[in-house]
Order: sequence, then structure tokens, then C-alpha cells
Amino acid sequence: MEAALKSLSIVLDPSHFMFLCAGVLVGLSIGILPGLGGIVGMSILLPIIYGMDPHSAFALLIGMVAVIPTSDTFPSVMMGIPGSSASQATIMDGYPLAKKGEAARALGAAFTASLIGGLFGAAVLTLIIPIARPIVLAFGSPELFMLALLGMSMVGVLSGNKPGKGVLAAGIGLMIGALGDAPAVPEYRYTLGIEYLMDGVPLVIVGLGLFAFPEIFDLLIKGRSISEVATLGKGWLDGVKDAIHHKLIILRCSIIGVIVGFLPGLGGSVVDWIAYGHIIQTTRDREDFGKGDIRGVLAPESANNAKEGGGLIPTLLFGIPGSGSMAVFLGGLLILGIQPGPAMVTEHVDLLYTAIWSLALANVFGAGLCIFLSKPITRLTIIPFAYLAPFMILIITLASYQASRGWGDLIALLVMGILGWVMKQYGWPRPAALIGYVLSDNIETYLFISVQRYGISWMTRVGVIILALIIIASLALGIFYQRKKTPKARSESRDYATQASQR
Amino acid sequence: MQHRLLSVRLVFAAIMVLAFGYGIYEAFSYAYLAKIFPLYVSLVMFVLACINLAQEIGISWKEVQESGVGFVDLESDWDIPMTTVIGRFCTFLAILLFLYASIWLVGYSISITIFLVLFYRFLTKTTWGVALVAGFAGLGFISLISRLMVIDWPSGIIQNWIQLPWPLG
Amino acid sequence: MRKTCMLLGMAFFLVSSLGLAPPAQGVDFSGKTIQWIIPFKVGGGSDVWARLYAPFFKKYLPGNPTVAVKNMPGAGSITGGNYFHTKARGDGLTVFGSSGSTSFPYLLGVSAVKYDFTKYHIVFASPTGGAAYIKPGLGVDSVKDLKGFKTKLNYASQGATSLDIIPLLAFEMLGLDVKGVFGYKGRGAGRVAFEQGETSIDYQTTTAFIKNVRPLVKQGLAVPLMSWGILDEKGSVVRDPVEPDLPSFPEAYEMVHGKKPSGPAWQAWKAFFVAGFGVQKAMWLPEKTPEDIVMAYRTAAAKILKDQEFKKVIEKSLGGYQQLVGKEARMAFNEVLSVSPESKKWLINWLKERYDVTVK
Repeated sequence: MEAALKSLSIVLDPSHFMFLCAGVLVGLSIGILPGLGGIVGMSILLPIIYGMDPHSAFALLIGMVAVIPTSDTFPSVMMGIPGSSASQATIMDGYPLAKKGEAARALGAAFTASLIGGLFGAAVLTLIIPIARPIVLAFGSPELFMLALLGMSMVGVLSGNKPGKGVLAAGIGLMIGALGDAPAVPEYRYTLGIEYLMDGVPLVIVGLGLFAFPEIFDLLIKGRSISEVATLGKGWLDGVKDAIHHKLIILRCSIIGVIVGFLPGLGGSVVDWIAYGHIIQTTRDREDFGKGDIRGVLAPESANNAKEGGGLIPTLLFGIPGSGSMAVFLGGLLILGIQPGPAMVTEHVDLLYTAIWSLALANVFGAGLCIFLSKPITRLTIIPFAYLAPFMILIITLASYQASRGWGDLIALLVMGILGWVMKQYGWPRPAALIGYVLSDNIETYLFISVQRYGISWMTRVGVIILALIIIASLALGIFYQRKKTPKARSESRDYATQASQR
Repeated sequence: MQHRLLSVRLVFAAIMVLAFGYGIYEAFSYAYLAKIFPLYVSLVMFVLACINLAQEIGISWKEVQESGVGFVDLESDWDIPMTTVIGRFCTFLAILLFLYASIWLVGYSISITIFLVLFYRFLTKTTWGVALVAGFAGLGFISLISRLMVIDWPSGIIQNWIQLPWPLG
Repeated sequence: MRKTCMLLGMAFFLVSSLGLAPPAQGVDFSGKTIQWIIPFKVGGGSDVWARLYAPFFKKYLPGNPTVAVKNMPGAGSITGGNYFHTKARGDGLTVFGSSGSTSFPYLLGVSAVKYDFTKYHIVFASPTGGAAYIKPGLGVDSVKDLKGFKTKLNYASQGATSLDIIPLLAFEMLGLDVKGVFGYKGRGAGRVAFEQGETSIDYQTTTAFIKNVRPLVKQGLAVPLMSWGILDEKGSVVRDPVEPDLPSFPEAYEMVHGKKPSGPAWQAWKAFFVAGFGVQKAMWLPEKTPEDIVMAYRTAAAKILKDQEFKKVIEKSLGGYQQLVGKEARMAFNEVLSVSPESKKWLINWLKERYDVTVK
């Protein structure tokens, strides 16, 4: 307890605090620009932390990484373009709200959810440290495989009434994910002899290609502004009220966020989809999802902030990154001369608490700043899109190019973009493709390791059986709620599914 | 009747079938551990893709029979006909391809600046002044990122002949 | 709104015109920027290594140039290596940082490799070490007990052509029946797998071993076996000074088999050990670099090693290993370059027979 308070005073010390603010500002800028995410932020800041004292460095890095899931809501809501890989699901309902002229409301709700989610993540991080080790150790490769399957089961919910196309889209995602080097052997798959493809297609490019590119094109084709209504409707206070009204949803999704972040292997890019899918699965009146249901914004936004807190656990306590940005953060630890692992809890407990406080405080500032900025930025939705489009294209090509710094990136972006656009027009659910892509490596790797190591008996492990039951339960819930609706609601939900698959 | 069936929708569904077929075919040549996953996924997907294609052809056929107007896309919420949409898409795609070609020739920095200027002037229809400011703002931005992240934007053929000053080189 | 946009646009315009100011010309490297190509992602082991050295090179190179790390990940570091080989000019402004993963494809003769270490000038090299340990309760308290040890063991591996060649071959040479479970994402994941009971034998870099495995040993959850060793000036593999209680691999071999290791397996192991650990990371200048620039770099590197501040860095982040400069580095790396074709063939054959892996 006193270690915690001591750390708080360290963090509030002006010299460290300054770094926290710097980190928040950097994170804010990176989140707002579509396509750039935590990895880019870390890459920019890593050279700077050389020679810094660890507390300042932590304040800087964690301040940055904590705010990105908050500020990445801006492009997702306002343009339907994911701000970072953790914010894709926000597009589904945030963007329709912006089109109705309710961007400020969506943002207000999102920031409140982000704030609560982030604080929740920090709180869980504090409480769970003593028992984290046994929990992480309990999840072996078979259990991680089942978790990846659980993620895949979301495909069903997210495909509405087109399960066939949903599964196919997921299949496309799985194959794109399989492209490149195989996890266990030095075999390069489907590379068509192109050296660039030997590493597979980077996540940034898949995300931007599938979601950003079609959106930009469609807006250009329509030739209007983003908001289809001339004036801006409800303001951000209404969004905050919405968030408070649905606090249970925020709580549930924060829990999901922390768990997904905390278990190595699922990665940050599916957490928002899992939260979004879960909310749909467990609600009776789902007609508005995909058309601007505020709950569809609250769910992913609370989850993606909470996951940052969760992600620090395996990173700091085990040296296994919880996500891509955590992998770079590990490099930062090495530069500072800190070895992650069980030693963190004994030798570096003060640093641990610095991390937690930085996380909490950064979330507060980040949310506050974002709310402050939301008014001027939402005005952008009224301008004709032609003013924004060229800069969007610049940022997207730039963000893609920094993925592996080669021509391949630009071409891959174009190919994925065309694919994404066609999928959008003809009703192939893109979220399913993205989930397939992200989980592809995990599914293959963990299944292999399980079979290699345990033969068939991996299926009889306790953890595996429990997770299998959870998967079946979640699928059943989805079908159950679907059936319970009146026929009128059912036909309306077909519309939602159509809309959803077009986003 | 025949050529009305050949809509983008059907072509795409057919491409899916071919893609998964290729997936199966290629997977056979891989080492054992690398083969299993893509092979089985492709197999299942191939079957599903064929079913999907059959369904799509069935729906198209029915519509062509009923309305005789060719394919009416029930799904998009466009208030303009699909052919216009595709047409405009191809126009913008061509613009992008021109951008890429120019990147290949003169490098990213020059191309994106010119792109911004031209786009603002001719598509957004602003004055030359605004367009130029936009172009240089873009150039400034990518220079900043280039410095921060130690990243070199793609250079074009022209950079092999002439040494241009940073950031145009 | 319009006005704000105009103002922002003007601001960027000013920034860009500031950036267009050309760098100052000078003697030696003053005002210049050195690009240190690292064929790995930001935050990876080699990236950190370069970033630790970079400010010290700035301090000791004549003219105090800025040293910027340029990440060029791809194809397991082959992309970066090829880029260095084809594009780097001999003006001393581009250097290359290689790691074990860069040397291995080169040694194995992977066709995509265009780079050639025999042509470059080495500036300095950083060794590292590894230590192996085993599950308790198997009747093994030290390496001696491995003689005639028959129980099947599991080892978490990234892949048969990764750095794991070294432990896998070592275990086999000791006569152990070790199954490589492939697909793990790194040694961190490997250690977790060991703690979970998924694997029964593992190794870690000595730094990680000291921090994370020694506590396990204290709790009775792991039994240390041996370290790989380090290379001494005569080119022999001797005990690792960072873990002086652990026998080196050649010593372990002798304890189990009663004679010193020899033969094609040993030759292959030694070559790959040097590439993967003995001289794991190295800085290179391109072929056409004139002698005076090479000397300037080597002198700077020697000065860095004497720097008091840097000695702390070595302790904290580089495992405490003696870094090699200039001639010593060249001689050590020659152990890698002079591996006989028979040994290479033996290894490639071993990979095929044992793991069904073909090197392309």
C-alpha cells in the first residue's frame, strides 16, 4: 500500500509528470491519425528514452499507450476509418451516428466509456498482481487455442443473417493470415515468388485496406460531406449520460477487455470485436446495431482501453508481450536495463505502481482533452469530404508504408483496398475477414503445439472443456436471442445485418 | 441475357472459388507441418464458395427472368445506379494508379505534394492558393514524420539520376 | 473554421521550409548522419543493442555525427542484409548491424541471401551466452546425471533453422531424446512453457537466466545444467565467466561421453555456436570503405569500451560480456566464415533427416 502511495508521489513530481503529459499528447496525435497505432508511437518514443530514469520513461511510454485507444475514436466515428487496430468495431455504430449528425454524442459516450474502461484496467492491474502468475500459467497452448476459437465464434454474430458469407469472409482472413512464413517450419506460403510476401501482409495494411480505403472511396463517390444532416445534433453531454445509463455494459466490456489483454496470444485487435459481438449476442432488441446504437460504441471503447491495463501484466510479469505495442515496450525495458519477469514484483515494485498510476492518470487527461477537442473536430463532418480526402489518402499511404517500409506495402494496400471495397458492395462481412486474419496465426500455432506436445489428449484438459462449453453457450445465446424476437423485429434485423456487413 | 449475368458480384464470387482452389493446390507442395492448416481451411472454404456461387447465380438468374433489367443490387443504399458507382470507383482508382506511377517515377515526396495540389484545385475546386498551401502542408507533415521515425519515403527513378535535396530526394 | 485551416496550413508550410535547410558541410563526419541499418523491428534485441551503442558512437566518432538507427525488418533479416549489400556506399555513412539470425541463413546457404560477410569490414562484435536447465524430479541434479539418461524430453522451439539449432544439436550430441515442439514465439514463451510444464528442458540467454531462472532454481522448480560457453582468444570454447559454476557444453560432453567432442557434428555446432552466441551481433562497414574510415570506426569502438559510463551499460543491458573490437572481432568471426563445407553439408543433412526441414 505504501509502495503505491510512494509511487503516486513520484508520478506527480513535476519532472515525471511532464513526461506523462508529453506521452499523452503524443498518444493523442497518433490515435487521431488513422492507421497509426501504439507500435508507431513506441517507435517514435523509443530512441528518446535512452538514458532517462525509468520512472520518467515509464510515464512517457505508458502515458502514450494509454491514450491511443481513447483518441482513436475520432477517425472511427467521424469517418468510418479505424484510428488504430483496436478501434475498428467502433466504426459499426459510431460512424452511422456521425452520419445522422450525432457525432458529438457518439464521441462523448465513447470517451466516457474509454475513461471508465481505462481506469478499470488500471485497477485490475493493481489487484491482480499477486495472483497473476498462477492465472497466466494456467493457460497453456491448448487453452489458448480454445480462446482463439472463442474469438472466431464471434464471426457468427457479426455476420447477421449471412452466416455463409461470414464464414467465407473469415476463411479469406484465415488464408491471408497464413500467407508468409509458417509458424513452425521455414516454409513460405503463397508468396507467388514475391519477396515482400515472405513476411505476410501486415495488420495495418489489412485494417486500412479493408475499412479505410472503401470508406474514402464511397464518400468520394457520393460527393457529399460525412454528415448527411446539415447541422450537428445532440452534444457530448448526452453521450456522457448515455454512458452512465448503460454502465453495466461498460463494466462487462471492461472485464472482457482486461481478460483479452491479459492473456497472451489473443492480441489487441480482436478485443473490440469480441466486446461488440458479445453485446449483440446478449441483447434482445438488436435492431439498431449497425445503424447507430450507442451501445455499439460503448462496448468496444471500454474494452479497448481496459485491455491496455491487462496487456501490461504478461509484458511486465512474464516478458511476453500482450500486444504489438507491448512488444516494442519490452525493447524499451531492455534499453532501461530492466528485465521483465518475476523480479518485477520484488525488485521493481515501485516501477510497477508508476506504470499503474501513469495508466490511470493518462486515461483521465486523455479523456478530458478529447472531450475538449471534440467540438472543433466534429465540425469537420460538415465539410464536403473532398477537402479531407487527399489528406486521408496521404495518411493512409504513409501509415501503410511504415509497416515494412517498402513498395510492397503500397501495393498491398491497393490490393486489400480493392478487395475491401468489393466486399463492402456485395455484402461480404469485413469484420469476419479481419477476425480470421488476426486469429489465423494463433489458431494454427496453438493447435500445432497442442497436437505435437499432447497428441489427442489435449482435448480432455479441464481448461479446454470449460472453454468449449463457453463457446457453445455463447453460440447458443446468440441463436436464442435471435429466435426470441417477433417476426417484425426479425425482418428489421435482416436490414441491420445488411448494413453491418457493408460497414 | 448472358452478358447481364456477368456482374461484378458474380465475378467476385467466382474469384473466391478460384482463390480457394488455388489454396488447395499450392498447399500440397508444402512441408507437412506447414501444409495442414491451409489445406483444410481451403478445402472447407472451397466447398462453401462453390455453394455460394451457385446461390448467387440462382438469384441473378431469377432476377433477370423477372424484371429483365439485369442485376439489381438489393443491398446497397446508393441513390445512384450501381453502374455509375462502379464507374466512379474506377475513375478514382485510376487517379490512385496515376499517383502510384508518379511515385515510381519521381518519388513519394514530390508525388504526394503534386497530388494534393492537383486534387484540391480540380476535384475539391478551390483556388490555386489554397491548393498550394495544402500541398506544402502535406510536404511539411511527411518531412516531420520522416525525421521523427528515421524513415525514407519511396524514391523514384529520377532519384537514381539526380541527387535532389532533402526531403525531395 | 476556414481561417484555422489556413493558419494550420501556413504552420506546416513553415515547418517544411525549415526542414529544407541543407546540412552543414564539414570535415570527417561533422554535421552528417550515420545510418545504422538494423534488419529487425523496433524494440527487438538487435534494435536495443544498436540504440545502446549509438549515442556513444556519436561521442567518439570524429566530428560527432548523429547516429540514427534505421530499421529494415523483413524475411528474418535477409531483406536488410541484401539492402546493405547492394545499396551501401563506401563513404562511412552507412553501417550494418547483423545478428545470429542474419548469419544463419548465410551459413546454411539460403538462396535469397545476397550479402557476404567475407567482403565487409567488421568494426566490433558483441557476444552473448546461453544456459540450459531441466525439470526437477527426473533424477538429474547436474550434467553428470545425463549419462545414459533415457526419459523423453520436450523443448519449446521457434523452428529448426532458428538459433535453436544450437540447443537441439547440443542435446542430441549429449545423447538425450529431445523432441522439439515447434511454433513458440521466442525464448520468453519458451520459459513460460517450461514453468507451465509443457516442456521439460529449456535454455535462456544468460541475462534472462540470472534474472528469471535462478529464482526458479532456488524454489526447486528448475535444475541448471550447463552454459554453452564463450570463445577465448585461441578460438576454443571455454566456460562462460558470467555463469562460472556451470560447465560449458564441451565440458558437459566430456562428462557424459568421457572424451572431448570432435567430428562433423562438433564442427558444425561450434561454427553455429559462434555465429549465434560467440559473436552474435556485429557492426559492419561495406566493402569499398577506405582504410582510414574503417580505422576511425574501430578506434571509436575501442574508446567506447573504455568509457566508464558504457561499462555500466555493458553490465546492465549487454549481459556483462567482454565486447570484441577490430582484429579480435575479425578473428572471432572467422570461426564462422571458415566452417568447412563438410560440416555445412552434415548440418543440412541432419536438419533434413531429423526434422524433415529442407533449406531453400
